[in-house]
Amino acid sequence: MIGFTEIVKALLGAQVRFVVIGGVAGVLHGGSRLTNDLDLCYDAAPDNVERLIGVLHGWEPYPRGWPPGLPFVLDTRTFATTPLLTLTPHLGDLDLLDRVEPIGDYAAVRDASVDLPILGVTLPTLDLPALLRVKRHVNRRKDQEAVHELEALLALRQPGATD
Amino acid sequence: MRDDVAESLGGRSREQVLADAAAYGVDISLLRAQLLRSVDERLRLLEANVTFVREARAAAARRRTADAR
Repeated sequence: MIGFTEIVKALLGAQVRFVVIGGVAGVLHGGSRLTNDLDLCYDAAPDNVERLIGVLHGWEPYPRGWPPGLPFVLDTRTFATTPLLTLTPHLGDLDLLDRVEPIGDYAAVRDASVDLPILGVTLPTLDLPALLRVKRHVNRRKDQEAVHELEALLALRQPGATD
Repeated sequence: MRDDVAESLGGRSREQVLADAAAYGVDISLLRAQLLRSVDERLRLLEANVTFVREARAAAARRRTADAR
């Protein structure tokens, strides 16, 4: 089983441009909610997509929810026609998005991210205010629950906190 | 408080935000403990929890299969 750490290190090692978003970003900021999904927003520029595909091919990616055994080709055309690609390599669930509402495309998401020091590298991660905006926008039940935790984290991180 | 942070918190005070979260069921002490951990530790803990859940689910599936036989 390939873990989150191995995935992000492989992507960074291949110089793939991406930002960690979603539940894992929440955990990196201090959240406690368990998540099986690694959600990444990637730069859709052709050179970046090529590098991303190169890394993913090593993990035998397959669309999540598809019946087993169907033909699936992961190439630049797949990325160009699939704004949200949900994959199940044998690592768990990996969601790849080329834009995140209501933030925008990769450039906007990168602008709203922070570089977290982790495992000897820096990991671009959506910042807490932007993560809150996304959760409020998506507004599923689990997002509503996450909003309260993210708000608390944001409050706890404020300078001058006394308790 | 920074303007973007204040906006993110809907103009509520820090204390009110924490009270609202606690009332919703958020474990504030757990978050405090998480914030004391490094980012590395948070990621490792998440991975350990995910692995535990996956293995528990797989074991439960194996038991169901065995029971069905």
